[in-house]
Amino acid sequence: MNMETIAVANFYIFLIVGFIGIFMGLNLKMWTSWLYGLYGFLTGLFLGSVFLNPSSGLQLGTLFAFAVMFGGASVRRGRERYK
Amino acid sequence: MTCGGHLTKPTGNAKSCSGDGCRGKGGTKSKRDKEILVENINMLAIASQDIATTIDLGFSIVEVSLVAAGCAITSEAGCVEGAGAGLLLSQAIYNVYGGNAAETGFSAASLILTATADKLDDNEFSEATLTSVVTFGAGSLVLDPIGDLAIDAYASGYNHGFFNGVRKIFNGGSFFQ
Repeated sequence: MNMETIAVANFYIFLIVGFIGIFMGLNLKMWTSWLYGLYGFLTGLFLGSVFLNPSSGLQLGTLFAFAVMFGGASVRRGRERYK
Repeated sequence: MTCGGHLTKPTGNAKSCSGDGCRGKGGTKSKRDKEILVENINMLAIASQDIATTIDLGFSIVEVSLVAAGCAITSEAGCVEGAGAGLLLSQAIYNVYGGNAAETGFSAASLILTATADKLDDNEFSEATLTSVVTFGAGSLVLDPIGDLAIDAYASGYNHGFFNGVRKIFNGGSFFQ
């Protein structure tokens, strides 16, 4: 199994994990919620580094982390507001 | 147009089909593998956004039904109070019972997939990613199903080639392609 296959497999796993995190809602005051962002960042960094270069990996990782944490926090905000 | 036809065009990946790297027209095996990967990721991005739009559509129907029912129940008192209660109830259902969460999850997945396909294709973020970021950000902040439906319908329409991207629209371009 080469690195590209591992990177793509990890990317699809991250999509599932990230979806679960967003669906549950993330409380950014808890450090454990930031692990989703960290996982997203590392996934993007790994994927970009394997297929392109580390600089592109940093960009992808930042975007992945933003998407998961912003989405999760907004879901939690909406749920709290109507509970 | 080969290499996925309309699926590749709206997300800015059409140029991957024009050179030697196009599937079936030569290029190295790893390059062809990468193009197949980009194509698959693009299809997943479009499907994910369509699912988000479908979720919004379902909850929007519930919202319209509840507002209409509330209006009908309190029609003698002027309809407004009942319609307002129906609106609040539908928004609460949407946010508390997972409609908004699922929509945000699929929209985020679409953004991640679109950005990845864009980057892997030509090492640049194109208008497809920008449009996805804008629709995801706006959709995440809106807590009403009909508001979310408007945003996600635009995102889906853009993916399928009906609408222009946000950069073109903000630079004076028309809404429709």
